[in-house]
Amino acid sequence: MLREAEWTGSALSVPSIVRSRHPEANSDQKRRRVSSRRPRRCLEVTSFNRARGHQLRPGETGRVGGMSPIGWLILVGIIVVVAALVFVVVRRRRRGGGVIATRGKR
Amino acid sequence: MTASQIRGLPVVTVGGGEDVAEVRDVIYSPEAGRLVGVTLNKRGFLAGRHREVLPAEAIHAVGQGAVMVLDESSLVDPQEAPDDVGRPATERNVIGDDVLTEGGTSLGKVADLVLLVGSAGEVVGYQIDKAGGGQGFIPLPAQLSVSGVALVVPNITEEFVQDDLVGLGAAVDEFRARMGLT
Amino acid sequence: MSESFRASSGRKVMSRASANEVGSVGHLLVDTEQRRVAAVVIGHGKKAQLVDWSQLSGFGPDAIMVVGEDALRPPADDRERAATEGNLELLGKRALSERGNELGQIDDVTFDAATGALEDLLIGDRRVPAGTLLGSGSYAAVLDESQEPSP
Repeated sequence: MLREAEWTGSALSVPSIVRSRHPEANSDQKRRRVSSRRPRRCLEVTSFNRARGHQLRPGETGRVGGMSPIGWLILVGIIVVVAALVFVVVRRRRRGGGVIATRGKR
Repeated sequence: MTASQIRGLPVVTVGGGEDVAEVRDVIYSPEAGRLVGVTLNKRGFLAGRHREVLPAEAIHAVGQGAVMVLDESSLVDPQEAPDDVGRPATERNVIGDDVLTEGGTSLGKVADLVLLVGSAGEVVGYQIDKAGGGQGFIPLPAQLSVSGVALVVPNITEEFVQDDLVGLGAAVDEFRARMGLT
Repeated sequence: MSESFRASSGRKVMSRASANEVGSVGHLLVDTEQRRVAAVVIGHGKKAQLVDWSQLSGFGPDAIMVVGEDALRPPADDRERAATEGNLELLGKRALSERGNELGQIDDVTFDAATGALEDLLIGDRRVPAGTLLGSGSYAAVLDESQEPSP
């Protein structure tokens, strides 16, 4: 029966009972540290999560980092508005007065 | 052709075939009845104003596709151009002016200026949006005075409002004759 | 023999010295004052090279023969650079009269294959002598007054 891997805060400690292709990994009594990528499954609450103001519970998956969809929408909206303003301002500057009569002699 | 057709035309050099600028404002003398110059924008979708101006003397020709100049040196610094071209009286824009008779009747609003094709910028009259609807043309000799708000014309002008450009040439002469008598 | 810009576009350019192909016709650069083909632009864009007309042993119906590979050179000035970028290409260029009126688009240009002298400009359904060409550049080709459109 496989024991569940333990989250030690920076790496997964894999019990030696886990078999791998590499023959040396199967040697008894040796615990191997498996190099970690930050796992998507957080089995323990860490201070990192607390700082973001959102606690992940065991078994819960969460995305770390990145912008929310609302954030993207707002950013795109701002870019569109700025571009439109630039466009309007420059077109207005180009339009000019029109048909201008000379100043008469006084 | 009309002033609004000239605005926005590219300014093209005859020898170089380059579009060096485009027409921004059309400046004309109501007394002399002719074009005195144009101010310029740079070419390009979002390009701004062009510092230089183009006095009428430097214009080689005005056609329906372009304003032709001999070369880039035809465009001059505003200080070297006549004052009305280098420093246009932007408050004297006649488009939208009320067309008022001496007697105080409004005949409509000025929509455009009409110039003679192929001439040296001769102005023949004004195109107006008539008070009752539709368009009309008023020969230039009808103009008594003009500002940025109104064009004042004699009372008899009402009879001379032409429906199309074809009649305008004849109307100019007829009007001159009529004015000579009154 | 009469040649045309449209027909010769893309034709292969060969070296007489080595019998190797050096490229194909991208554009023909015209000297508007002398009204003749001044150079052949081989290829397009940044890597394009020019061959002066004097360096051709022949402008033939099947190939343009240059005397040797060393006749190919990079653009020497702004006008030649504009030519390699296609800005000065007469094919498809707007034609304006000297009086500022639109004449149409240049559909083809014919020239003497022996001398490079321009013969006619084909604008729409009209054939116009090249002698009327006053100037041309990135925006338009300007033709003299004799080419005014009929009212």
